[in-house]
Amino acid sequence: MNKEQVPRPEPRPPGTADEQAWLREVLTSEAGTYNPDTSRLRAAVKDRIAARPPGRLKASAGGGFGSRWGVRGIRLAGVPAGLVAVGVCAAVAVGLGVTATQGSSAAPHSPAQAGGTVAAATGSRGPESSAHAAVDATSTPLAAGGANPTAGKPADSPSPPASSAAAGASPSTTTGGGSGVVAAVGTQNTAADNSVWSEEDVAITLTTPVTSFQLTVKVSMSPSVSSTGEWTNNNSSMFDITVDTRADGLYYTWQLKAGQTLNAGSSTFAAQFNHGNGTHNAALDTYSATAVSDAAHGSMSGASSGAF
Amino acid sequence: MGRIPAARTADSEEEARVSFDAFFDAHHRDLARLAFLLSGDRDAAEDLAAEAFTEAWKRWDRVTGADSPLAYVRRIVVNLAASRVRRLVRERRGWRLLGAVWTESAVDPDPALAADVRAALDQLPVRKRACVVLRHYYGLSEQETAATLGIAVGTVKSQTSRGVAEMATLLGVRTERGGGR
Repeated sequence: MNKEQVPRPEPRPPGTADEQAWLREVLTSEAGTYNPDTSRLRAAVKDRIAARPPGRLKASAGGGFGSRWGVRGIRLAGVPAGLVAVGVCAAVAVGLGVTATQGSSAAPHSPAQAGGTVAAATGSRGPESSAHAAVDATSTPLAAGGANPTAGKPADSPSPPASSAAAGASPSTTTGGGSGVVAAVGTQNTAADNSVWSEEDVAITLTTPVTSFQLTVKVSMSPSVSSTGEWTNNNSSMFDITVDTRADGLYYTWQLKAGQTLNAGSSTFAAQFNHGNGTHNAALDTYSATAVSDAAHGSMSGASSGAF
Repeated sequence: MGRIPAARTADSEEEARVSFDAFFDAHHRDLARLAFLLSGDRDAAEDLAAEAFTEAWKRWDRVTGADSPLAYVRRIVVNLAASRVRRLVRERRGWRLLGAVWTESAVDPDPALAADVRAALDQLPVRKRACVVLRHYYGLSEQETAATLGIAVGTVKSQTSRGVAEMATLLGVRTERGGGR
């Protein structure tokens, strides 16, 4: 980065005591020069929301909002195909499997008989080499709103919607019967990754409240791999969270505590780790989620897994 | 079971809308200013803020379910801004080489200082900039900053201290002129 443009003072250690207050004041002053036009901003937000697939409010139980992440958790099939590009991006991705079983029966139902909810999982990978493509692809669905500067937050980074699987745009398999309880979508957080540190995110979508839930993320081992923590946008106190370092990898596990219920909807779990100098090869990193819906929803079990 | 999904949906939809409106009213200025500090550009800030709220609405259940909805949406803003900045870096690098200045149409109370601050912020790589802004403008803790940015606490520490040092260096001379405020 070229810094010649800004005149450099002689090196002079800043007064440390004063420094932070001074910086805060400068930043506050700078921020204060900008007064957003509230009504214009509000209108812009409304326009963009309206620009989303029409009828979304009425279809609220389904893909309306959900769009990219199947957020409201249901009807993952038949979502707008605006994400084909993302799906294609995910097409370089990896194998994954989803199963959903009802009750104690382990027999997968045919997708065709899925009357309502469908679980889908897609493993997607945004290796640094294709980071640009990933970002661009993510931007696409929002371009309709006029803004392009898009990259989901880490939690929501380029996850292809399960729908793209249904649309056949990605290689992910979608199986599951009338009720896929849980869908997991793993992505590398290319927005935050750097040459020594990475985050891998798993977006979990639950179609019903669940009283049993476990997610395991395995980061394949290499000499310099070590955990730097984990994250979820759920209330983390609901989970027993462990990170085990084993010979073949780091195992991050979130286990819903007994007596807790995790509501339907989407949330994100992140595994963060150092991997020494150089890019971490995520091809061997995997995730696997299992869940059992609450009694009111038939105590159905489901599972979803894939690779980053 | 036994509940009528349609009715429940309509209710929760309405609830969501009300809470979203309230959230917008309470935080749009704050979030737009964050976008401004991160992007250095008024038009971009409005664009980023609008996009961030739109993204927030798309997963409003998750936002409201988060420990801190505001932190959640800040995170969206930061990531949108980061993405945008990364995309623009190449172009701006070109401008800098030509000695071009940041263009700013609006009137600043203290144009010289504001331009300096913006230029200095602009010199920082985006993550470092976000650390500086979140820690020293918003007063977030290192942990909160780490959670907002989705990076490790140690990274926040190192990025922030380097960022602060660079800001101090970049602004040092002019600050003296300004009496250090």
